[in-house]
Amino acid sequence: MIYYMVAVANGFLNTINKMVNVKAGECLGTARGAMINYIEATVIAFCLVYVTGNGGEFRLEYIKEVPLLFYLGSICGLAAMIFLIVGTKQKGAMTSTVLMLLGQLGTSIVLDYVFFEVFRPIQIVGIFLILVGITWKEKLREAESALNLAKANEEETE
Amino acid sequence: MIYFVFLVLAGVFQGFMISLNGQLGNYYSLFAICFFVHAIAGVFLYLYIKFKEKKPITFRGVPKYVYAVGFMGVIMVSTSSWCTLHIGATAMLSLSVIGQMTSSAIVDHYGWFNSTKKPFRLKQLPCYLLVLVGVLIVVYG
Repeated sequence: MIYYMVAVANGFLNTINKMVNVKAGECLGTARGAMINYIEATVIAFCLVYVTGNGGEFRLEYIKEVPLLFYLGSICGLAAMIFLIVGTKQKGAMTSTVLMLLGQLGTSIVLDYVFFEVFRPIQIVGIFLILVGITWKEKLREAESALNLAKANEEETE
Repeated sequence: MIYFVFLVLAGVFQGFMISLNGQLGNYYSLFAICFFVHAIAGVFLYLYIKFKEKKPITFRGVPKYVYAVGFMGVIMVSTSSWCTLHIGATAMLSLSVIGQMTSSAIVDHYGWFNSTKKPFRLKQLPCYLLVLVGVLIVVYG
């Protein structure tokens, strides 16, 4: 149960983190805004590894033992950021949210099968419902924004 | 069409990121995962800024709360890797969607971070319930 609660809390923090990153991007530019996050998190994590007594994990021999593929997660994160920025500029927030989620959840089903050998076809139904729910919510949001914009224009002409 | 592919690819790469970070958890403690994830991406980003943008790197002129972003990064990467290792990437991502939707609704409702206020409407509730049902199916189905 604790994992489920932490996963929800992670999503909660994700939104706050995005908003703060957007602010950093506005003030410094996208790349420098992201750089603050990476530098700070690297230093904090480095200190915490030693504070928690796990400094031995930074031995070169140990680092080499871990398959190189597993270190590539952050490169994937950077690639995702580039595709997301380019795609969102052209297609808008709603399409980007839904398509990205489709890619994320689809990939995670495949990788859960590869790494944990778990595949439950019913999960595809669940993912479909999640995507429908989010598309519906975004459509309502777009409709409301359009209505507000029309009202504001009307008031301006009056 | 190419931009649709880009957006799906963004999701695919994020899915890979979360799964691969989770796999690092078989070898490293949570904070060491955070270190590698941020340090490797940081080096690439530094090279991009240095050679592509060719401008000096400064972090001045931002509101103070922006400096909390590194702490949030550490918490997010360590918790997502921890959860992925125990419940799998699909369940982790689906549950995270619930958290994201709820927090987005709160931020929009109160207009936090200087965003435009968008009050929560009851007619949005069925969308949230549908997502919740989908997540429950993914997690318990």
